[in-house]
Amino acid sequence: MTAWTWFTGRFRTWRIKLEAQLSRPGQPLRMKHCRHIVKLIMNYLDDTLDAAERRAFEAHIADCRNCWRFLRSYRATIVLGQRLRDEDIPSDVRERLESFLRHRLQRPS
Amino acid sequence: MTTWLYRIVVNTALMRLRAQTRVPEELLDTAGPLFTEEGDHAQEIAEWALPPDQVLLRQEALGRLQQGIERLPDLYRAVYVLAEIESLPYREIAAILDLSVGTVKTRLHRARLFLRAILADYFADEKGAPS
Repeated sequence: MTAWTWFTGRFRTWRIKLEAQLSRPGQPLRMKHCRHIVKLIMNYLDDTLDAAERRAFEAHIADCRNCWRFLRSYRATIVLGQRLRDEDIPSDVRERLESFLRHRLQRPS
Repeated sequence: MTTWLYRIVVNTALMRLRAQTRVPEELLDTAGPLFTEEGDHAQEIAEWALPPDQVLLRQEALGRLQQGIERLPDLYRAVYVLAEIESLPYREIAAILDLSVGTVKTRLHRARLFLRAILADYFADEKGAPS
């Protein structure tokens, strides 16, 4: 992630919060855009949103069928991925990863 | 491959290759859902018909997921495997791969979006019908 990407991302978050607070003082933040929800979904599941963001996130999810479904499927993807812990990493994946690392190791620095 | 081996190999490898290679990321840029200009979902998100516990029982779904992991760009796959499968904390993955924690999270998120899209295609086709 470039510094510019980081900055524009943070700026968008600040702007959304500011607009929300100006339009509805004292009310929970409103997240109107599904795009924003999808960006925050990982922090939501990691429980790293602040309290206001979390409330706004949950308020949007409660009203938006698409985001609710998206959250459920994103979470199911994580659970399915974690299931691979109990399985052997497929040999082709492991070989490709090892090959990638070996290739990088052999490169002159 | 065990976690400690990942750490040693990845660490040694990546110390040498910093900034030498640009991993193609275009594949992952479009991994998420489509949005309208207003930022709403542009398409209806399909409900996965199976409840999570039944999803887990579907070996075919795991196979799809494994195929998807294989298709990830190398550095995305490294982050995904270390985070999701090896269950290492972000900070540790960042140290191993010499990335910022933010970059690790971004890559993991994009990898998940990519894999979710693959699984969504599968579950949309299947509609949860027993195999």
